[in-house]
Amino acid sequence: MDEEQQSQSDSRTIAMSRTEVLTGMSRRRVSYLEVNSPERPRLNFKLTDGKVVMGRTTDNQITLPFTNVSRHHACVYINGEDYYVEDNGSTNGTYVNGVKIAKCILRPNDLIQIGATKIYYSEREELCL
Amino acid sequence: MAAELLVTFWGTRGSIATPGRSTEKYGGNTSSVSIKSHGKYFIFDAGTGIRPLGVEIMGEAAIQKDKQKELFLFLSHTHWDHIQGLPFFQPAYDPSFRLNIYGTSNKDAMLENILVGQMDSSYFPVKLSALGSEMEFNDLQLSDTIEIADNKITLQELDHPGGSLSYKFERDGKKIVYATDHELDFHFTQDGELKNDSELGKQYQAYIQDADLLIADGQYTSEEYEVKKGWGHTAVPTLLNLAQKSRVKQVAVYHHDPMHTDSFIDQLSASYLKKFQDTEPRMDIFWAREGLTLAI
Repeated sequence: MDEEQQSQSDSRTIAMSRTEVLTGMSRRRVSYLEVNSPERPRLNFKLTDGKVVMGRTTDNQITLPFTNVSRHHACVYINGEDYYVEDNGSTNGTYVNGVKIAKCILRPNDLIQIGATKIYYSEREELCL
Repeated sequence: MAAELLVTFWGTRGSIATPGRSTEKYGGNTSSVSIKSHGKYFIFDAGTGIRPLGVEIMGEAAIQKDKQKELFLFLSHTHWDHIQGLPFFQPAYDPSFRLNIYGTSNKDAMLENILVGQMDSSYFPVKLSALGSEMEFNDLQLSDTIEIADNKITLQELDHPGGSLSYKFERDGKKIVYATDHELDFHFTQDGELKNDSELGKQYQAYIQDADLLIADGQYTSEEYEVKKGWGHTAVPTLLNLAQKSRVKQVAVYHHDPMHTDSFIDQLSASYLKKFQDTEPRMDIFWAREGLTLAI
């Protein structure tokens, strides 16, 4: 077997330092809201450390321009390691998986409902280099 | 949150704490629920869920320095999963707090002695007497009514090995019943019909009648109950059918079995929501999850 063939069929373990691989690398959890409103394009919203207010008026980070949505209906924010959704005393309520909530920790695949808008919460891990 | 009656689930698991990925959604901490009524905290049970509640209360106390730091803790009974978080409840260590603890004596020991026993040096490095807060222990009788400001709490005996107490919290016409560790199946059929003219059953049904929120033991499926009779817990259909007949407005199925994973509870929940979706009067049903706050 010449050198080129050897190289092509080489399945030997490559010597690699674990420390070297992991140096400068960390993981972080990133959370998203997928906003599905009637007759509007789907919106994917990446959550950060800031508070995200959802409501009818245009001064919200997520605008839901529907009559059964209050002006500043609900918000999503981080506390420690967890994201929460909190109702802001809205007229028609905020629901998580069908339960009318005042406040709720969010877990992957939770469905937030505000009027006819359905908002899915998701998480994924990203590698930071 | 403008509402003045807020119910929060801090621990929803029965029997033993069950941390891990498979219980992340409904929670792994054992029994603890708070009702925050016009700024005052009423806490029901001190399972491991009371630890994060303590963290929250300390956070609020740091901001509202002049507020009265008086807490009211009601214990259903003193099995591990209802008291084990107390040694980790931060306000209990803080001299600026006063902790009023309510419960009943069991056959062998007064409430205070049981809680002292759990913090004996064989089990825990800090004695109960060394905790900084001012503590008062109140051994309750079934006939007692506790009135604190405009909040009223009444009691009902439950059927559980060693005994357990239910608490009904009332304020401004709203009724919230906390009733865990109760074998309803000894007193009702799974269709919610009274068995053997049970006196305890009649009392319980009258007690939960028209409740705005019933937080109640629903640890087992029907199949599981068949092999766990006498363990002191209720099968889900018995709980829900009785609640429906008693015109309860909202039921939180509580004290989840340690073997019930999030996906299992999701399936269980979906099947019962379907069964009850068209019933009259309307009754909302959900499986209690940690970190959920309701406005009542």
